[in-house]
Amino acid sequence: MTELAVVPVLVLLGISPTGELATSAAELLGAAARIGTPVAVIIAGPGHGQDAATAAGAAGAQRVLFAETPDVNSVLTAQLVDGLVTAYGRVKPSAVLISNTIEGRDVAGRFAVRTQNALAVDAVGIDRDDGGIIVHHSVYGGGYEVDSAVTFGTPVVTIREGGVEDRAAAANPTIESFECVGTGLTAAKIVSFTPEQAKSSRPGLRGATRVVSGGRGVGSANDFALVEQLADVLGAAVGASRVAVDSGYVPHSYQVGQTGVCVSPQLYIALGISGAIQHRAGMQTAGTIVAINKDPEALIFEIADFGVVGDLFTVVPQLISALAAKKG
Amino acid sequence: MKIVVLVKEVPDTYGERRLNLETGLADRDANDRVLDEIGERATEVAVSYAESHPDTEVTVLTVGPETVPTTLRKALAMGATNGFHVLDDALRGADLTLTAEALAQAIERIGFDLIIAGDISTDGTAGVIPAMLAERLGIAHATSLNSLEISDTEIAGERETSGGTITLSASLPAVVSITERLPDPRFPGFKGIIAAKKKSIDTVDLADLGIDADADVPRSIMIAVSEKPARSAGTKIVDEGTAGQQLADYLVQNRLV
Amino acid sequence: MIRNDAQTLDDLVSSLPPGSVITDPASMDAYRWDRANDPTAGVPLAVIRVTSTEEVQTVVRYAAATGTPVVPRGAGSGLSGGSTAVQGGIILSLDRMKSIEIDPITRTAVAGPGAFNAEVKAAAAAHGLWYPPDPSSYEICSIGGNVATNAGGLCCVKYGVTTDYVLGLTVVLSDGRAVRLGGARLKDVAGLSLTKLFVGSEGTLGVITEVLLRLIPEQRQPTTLVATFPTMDSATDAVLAITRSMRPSMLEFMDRVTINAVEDATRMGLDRDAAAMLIAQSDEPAGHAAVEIGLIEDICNRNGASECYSTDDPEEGEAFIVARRMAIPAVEKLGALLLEDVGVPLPRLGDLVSGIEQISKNRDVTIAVIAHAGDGNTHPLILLDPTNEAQQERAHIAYGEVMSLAIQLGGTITGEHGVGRLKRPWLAEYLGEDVLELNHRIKNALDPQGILNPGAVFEHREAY
Repeated sequence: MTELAVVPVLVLLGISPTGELATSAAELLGAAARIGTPVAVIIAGPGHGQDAATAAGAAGAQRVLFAETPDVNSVLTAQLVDGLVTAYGRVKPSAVLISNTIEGRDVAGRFAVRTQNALAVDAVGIDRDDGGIIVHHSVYGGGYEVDSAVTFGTPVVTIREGGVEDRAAAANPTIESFECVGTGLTAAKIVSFTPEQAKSSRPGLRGATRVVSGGRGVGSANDFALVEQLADVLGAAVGASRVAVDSGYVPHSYQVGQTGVCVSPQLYIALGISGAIQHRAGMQTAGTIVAINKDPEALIFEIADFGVVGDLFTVVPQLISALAAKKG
Repeated sequence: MKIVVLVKEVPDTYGERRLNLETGLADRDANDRVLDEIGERATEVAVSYAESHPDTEVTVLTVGPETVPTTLRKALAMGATNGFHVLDDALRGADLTLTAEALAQAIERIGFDLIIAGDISTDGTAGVIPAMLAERLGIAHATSLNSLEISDTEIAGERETSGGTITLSASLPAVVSITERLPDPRFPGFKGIIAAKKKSIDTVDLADLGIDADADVPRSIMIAVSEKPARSAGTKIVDEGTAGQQLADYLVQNRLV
Repeated sequence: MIRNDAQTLDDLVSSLPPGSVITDPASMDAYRWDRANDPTAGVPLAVIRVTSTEEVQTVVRYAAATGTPVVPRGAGSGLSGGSTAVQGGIILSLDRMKSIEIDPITRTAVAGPGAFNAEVKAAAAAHGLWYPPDPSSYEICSIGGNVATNAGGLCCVKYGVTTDYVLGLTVVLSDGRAVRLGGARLKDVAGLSLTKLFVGSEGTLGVITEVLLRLIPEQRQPTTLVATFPTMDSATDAVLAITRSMRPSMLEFMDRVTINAVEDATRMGLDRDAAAMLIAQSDEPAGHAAVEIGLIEDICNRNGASECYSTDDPEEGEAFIVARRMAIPAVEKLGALLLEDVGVPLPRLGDLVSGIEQISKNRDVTIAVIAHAGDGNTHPLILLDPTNEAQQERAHIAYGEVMSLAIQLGGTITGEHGVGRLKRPWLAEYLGEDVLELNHRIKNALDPQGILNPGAVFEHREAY
């Protein structure tokens, strides 16, 4: 075990345009600590590197390498890959962990090709045994658990957001800055950045990893706001049963089921939905199904992994504040 | 312009998808095999561009088993010019590295100005192939676009990023991937369905592309696969004032938030 | 006169297996409506989910003793309000009775009323057999409801409707006795044809608890043709010419409103100016199918079809008929629907469609017409705006006018959905005094107390 503790694991931490560490930093460093010593790489805009490095230490990085470049606001991905490759050369890590976001996937794909390493994506856990590093995945909407490993080389792993619970203890890291030398490869330009509007655009229903749906039990178009509120807390798409659509609570495009959209998310939350077969046909392959309904006999409970018999107008607000507290 | 569209045959998400617990590969008999919806959407982008730009050639490219030509016909019926199919037993269960290598070599063979893919497939859910191709081909990538404009020399589009939306542009040649925010794919029309039969699908294997699947490079391999227990009624609680809290605990414990 | 009280209901509950009876109002909500969403649905006394003929007998005996109305119910996919809850009555849900047994020797199936049509089809297919009736809702509708409404579908033009496949029934009568009618034989003329009497009776004469179905060898892969027509007359003339000389396994019709809705939804390149589209299939053996489809193609071209495509590839055929499968979902994207189901003799099909166009203009409501053209059964889809009361009123007037028009043209007010409660006001106009009275006499003979599905098909009375 002593040997394990000194094996460096390189973690690329995302930085917001205003210089803050992405919230995924804690879980990435937590996952890294499970298999070795977390070493963070940060590529930030000018003036943001030092603060971000300190924050990375608080989140568990033992060592931080940071580079600053104005390119982060004008060039897509390229400087992140270039910087990560430089740090990789210095640190010689046993694994490279990257968050499984849009940006993270782009970096991981390019980095794996450039360094000729194998890639394991969308991990929900990571471990090390005598044979090396084992990556855990959850596939087909959570129906299967798959473990993968690389034949040799340094595994490049993207970690599902919210996928791992491990957290590293806060550390007092050695912080080094380095120069991010661009390779000058062709890259897309960032023409402009528009900060998020107060009313965020939610993910679309098809292909969403989380879906919150409302049915007859929601009662009215106005009360559907509660469904949307929970969806936004979870970063979920909003769906509806046929009855909710027919009653005019939401447009037809929200309908999940036989005559609507078929979804297969990791998490499906059904609020006030009885679970008619037409609806079930469109969602029963979801990884985990949660149902809240005041009717204890509602058919939806037959397939729910977690069912709450109760009034959604008391349960959901409590759920939202409990989730907010946990995220805190 | 030459547009290559990446499409993929996947198990229909309408049914319950199954993995073979011996091989860890998709159980092909468990579901209908269909063209992945996001690939149809990518095809739609290319085909609607070709409608207003008659000199455009749209090739739909896929790596997959013998059944692929049947599903590829749908993209051809939507209006793609021709198909390209990489078929090789060594590609069964191929990792991302080998898949990207095969696709990149095929794209070189086809010739390209623009490569369009879906952002994420419904079965593999990796979403890294477009960037891997861009790196291999030495061109720019612009992925997960919620909108896309194509001109003779460049592409532009928007994508979500932490805290907002960025507008991107890239000179051609480039690789783009699109999200489901782009318009729904058309259904093949009668004329297109009939015409698809006469369109060509090139089939090549890895040797044709000069690829050695056994080359001494790192591969990602599956070492274990297990099935979560069958769906049945799980925990059911009656709210006595703390159900919201209990549900939050459940979601956190199961890594669902 | 309802004579039940809390004590008698408790007695009933204790005579049934635990978990059979639901009385919680919220829990009963899921059983109060079918797909007609009848706003006048009552609050039932109880929902009872039975699992056997004996349990049905227990419930009906209780109902007879207390004068309690009984509304039998399958999957709740009905479109005419045949299983809308009656105030203070019992919803007798047969959804748990889902057994299916196939006998490949006699080519029959014995099915519980709660089995889905699709499940019966799948069980038959496992033995290389086929249960043909194919209502569009086949994946979500139950066999009990199919028999109760004598459901039809797309292939009926060649293969007939539900009643043509019902060889026998077990029925619980209004006094609680159970009778077996018919049996696994094609020929049987002993006694009155009572099996057929119960088919299509919509739960008003007895409760069906078991169905014996005829199966036939599996269908051959079809050859498919689509044709579009510049005028309505050219399309209806083609239909008549086709049905006069052959029996396609499918002959479907879509009008211009439907074509445009489908094109909006699919962008498959349909001709938006076409007045009508026909979709035909032949499931004859390969060579014959090609000949039959060739003849249909000739007929379409002779009648001025503007486009005609055909294919013997089953996958391509499936892609062709997407246009028809998408019809209702596509029109539904424009708003809520009042789904009509009128039928006319084939020569009057053109008059019906043009008459509906006139009603649509007069009442300023959009009506899209799809039809099982080969059998004259049409589904005018009347668009309803849930937020506009005046529009809804006009739509309901149009709904009635379409039925009156069908009657004038020598047709029926419902081809395959049933009268239920939605179409009841038009039944007398359709049947005429004498036939309605004959219906009442039969209803009265079998259900003298009027406890079986009161208000469905017939006005509710204490005695008929």
